[in-house]
Amino acid sequence: MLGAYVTYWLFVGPLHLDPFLSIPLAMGVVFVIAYVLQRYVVNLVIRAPILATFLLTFGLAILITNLALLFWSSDIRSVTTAYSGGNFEVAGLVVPWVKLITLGLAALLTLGLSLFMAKSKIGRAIRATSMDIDAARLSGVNVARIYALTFAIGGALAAAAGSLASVSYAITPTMGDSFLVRSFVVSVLGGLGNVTGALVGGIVYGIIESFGALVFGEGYKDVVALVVLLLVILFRPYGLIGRATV
Amino acid sequence: MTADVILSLRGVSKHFGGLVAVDNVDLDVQRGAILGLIGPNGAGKTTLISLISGTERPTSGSIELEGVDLTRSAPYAIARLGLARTFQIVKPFPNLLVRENVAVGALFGRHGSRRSARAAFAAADEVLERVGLASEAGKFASELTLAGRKRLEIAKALATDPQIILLDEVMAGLNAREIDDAMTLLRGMHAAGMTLVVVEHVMKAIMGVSQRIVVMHQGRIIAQGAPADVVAEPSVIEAYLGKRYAGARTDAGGR
Amino acid sequence: MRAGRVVTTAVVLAALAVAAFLPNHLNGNYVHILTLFFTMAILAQAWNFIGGFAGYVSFGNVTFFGTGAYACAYAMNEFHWPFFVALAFAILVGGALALVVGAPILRLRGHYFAIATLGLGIGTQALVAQVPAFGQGSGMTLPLNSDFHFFYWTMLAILAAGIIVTYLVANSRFGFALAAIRENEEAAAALGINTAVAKVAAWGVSGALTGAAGATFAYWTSFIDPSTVFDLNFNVQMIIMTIIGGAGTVAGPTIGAAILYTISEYLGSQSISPWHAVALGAIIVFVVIVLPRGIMPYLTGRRMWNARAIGDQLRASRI
Repeated sequence: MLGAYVTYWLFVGPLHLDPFLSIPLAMGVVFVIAYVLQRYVVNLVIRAPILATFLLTFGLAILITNLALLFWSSDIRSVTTAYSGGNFEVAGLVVPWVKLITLGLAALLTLGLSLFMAKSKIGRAIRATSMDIDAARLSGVNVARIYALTFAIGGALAAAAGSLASVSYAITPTMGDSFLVRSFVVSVLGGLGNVTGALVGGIVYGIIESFGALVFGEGYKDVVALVVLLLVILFRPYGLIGRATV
Repeated sequence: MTADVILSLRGVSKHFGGLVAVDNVDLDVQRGAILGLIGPNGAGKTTLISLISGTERPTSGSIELEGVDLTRSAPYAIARLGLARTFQIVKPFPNLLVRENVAVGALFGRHGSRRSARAAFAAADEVLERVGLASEAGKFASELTLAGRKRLEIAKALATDPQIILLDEVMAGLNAREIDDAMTLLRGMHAAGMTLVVVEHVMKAIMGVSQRIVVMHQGRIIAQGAPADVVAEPSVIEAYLGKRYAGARTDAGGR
Repeated sequence: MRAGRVVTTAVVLAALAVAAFLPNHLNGNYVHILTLFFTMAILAQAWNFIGGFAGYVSFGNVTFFGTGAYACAYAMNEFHWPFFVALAFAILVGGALALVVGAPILRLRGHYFAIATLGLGIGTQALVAQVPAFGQGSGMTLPLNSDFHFFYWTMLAILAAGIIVTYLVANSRFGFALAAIRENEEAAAALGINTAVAKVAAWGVSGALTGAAGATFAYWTSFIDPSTVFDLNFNVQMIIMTIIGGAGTVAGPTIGAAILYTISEYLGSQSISPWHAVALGAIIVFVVIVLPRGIMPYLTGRRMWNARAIGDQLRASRI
């Protein structure tokens, strides 16, 4: 949501920045916000049972969403560029430009993230911390910073998603809600902790949801989300790829 | 099954994907005996205990308690039949009082359904007395030391009035004096007619307490018999110390 | 089994008894506010069974609220049943739903359970919004009843009943089993507790009580739509209220509800709507960080109000 708003303000402001170009900026802004929040607020309850983190982040979400409502009102905004409605045809299929670019960027970001996690020092530190926080600390990892970094990266990616979404969807302070459950479903589908899994999960889920909408009707999208979520959690909690990294 | 055998395992195996944790185990436990179960780390001892107590389900084979088939039963049902176990990493109820911890066992174990709350707490007090925790009854379980928690673990299991109890490394982490106390407790339980299966790494304890020992290695039973015989067997020495020492007939009494 | 329990329960019930006489002396606005407070308190008490006693944090209890509301609306509109029959129906539906979805979902632990229940609420909301018989998203109206005192007393009675049931459970084998499950589920099973049945039963009670609140709420407001009665905010509030007052206690949820409600009403009455919710968010953040055990430990003397004790507690749960 925040990412979408950054893109919006950059678009309608004097800069008239193309939404896709504003993605890095949106990511940057949200990265900082997320880092600060995690480092100084959420980190306070990490050792407590998971409920605490759940509730705390919910509370923060309520706070931020309502602050957004306060300052930006609930008016629906949108970002429409010259090419927003444009399509191109390939093999009899009509593909909107916007969706294609979105797919490309999603793949790019996923590739970047998985490389980062696998090869970089910080990426290794993140994975180590997720396996055993005390062992990581003993090996010299500053776990407070790593937690903050991890959340910040996640936030930045969400911001990128928001920026991408701003072109196709309505921008309101509560726009994040409908994406929330879907993001849970996709994460679980791909396997929690599995980066490429998330991309695969996203594509698979997108297909399932579209088919569901086709068969049952548009409004049933969230129902499809729920059913898929429950089925996956009950029968394959480690996701389709099946690696037990949880 | 003869009247003397209380627990019987036939062809019990457990596969975790490609890993064979327990491999075709046959075992009979005599009523009223103390059976020691030893073996190097990763031998499959705890897995075997989990299979018997119902926490895990065998991939194949059967387990019978007093002629009743336990193989596919849930842990709570097995507990109610009279088979109790302790956990290697103790599992107390941290925010309940020690007394309440033990009362859970008394209230839901073998005779639990016929007990009132008052009777259950009375039974719990008795058990606490027996294990030597009576003075800590009013504390929260989270306030106990490790030795206390190990004792509590045994007390909880005892409160279910078991006929047979599986003890998984109850001595780990205890000092010499605490080990002696624990051994006295085990002997006391045995004297009262209970059957014990004791998994241990502390050799002194296991040798001093067991009548019969079973040695596991890589999921299989490689030796069974009287303690003195078993530790002298080459295959056992090899399992613990490697081939190099198997030849030498050392006194592996482990004192 | 625990001394303080009888006292606090008695005090709270007494307060409710006094409250029964209030409507005749208060203006309509306060009656409205209190009725809403009773509703939230019921939700918190109900949540306490599954979240506080059994330790399974449900983000989907609001599902039973909405289900109860729609069950009541449907029963009154289509079957033309009088309210109390519809209420009984809603209680059955709420309880039955919890039992049915509980069997599979309660096999999950920790954050998986939380996520699944989250999906439950959102999915049910979407489902209900599709069904023509339920007004297909534009909501349903119920027969109008402007006797506000009636609803005040009905909610009050349900709340009192909820507290009494909680007290009975807390002092029963069932409650003891739930506590054991919460403290260490594997150990509980190893000692002879049928954890699957106990958990599902707890959620069943939770669902039934929540359904009752939903039904009464529906009749009271005369109009329900999916986004109101399945609102996730209700769920977050019922959790926070229970935490503030003490999860797993008998009267804690009601006390917590009173505290949270007083604070947010005070703040909300000062100005426009979003600040209300902003305040709620801030309160949630504060409670989770500083008061994870609620305020009861401070009141009963087990924890001290000084900065050092609070600091110790913070240090224990942070990185």
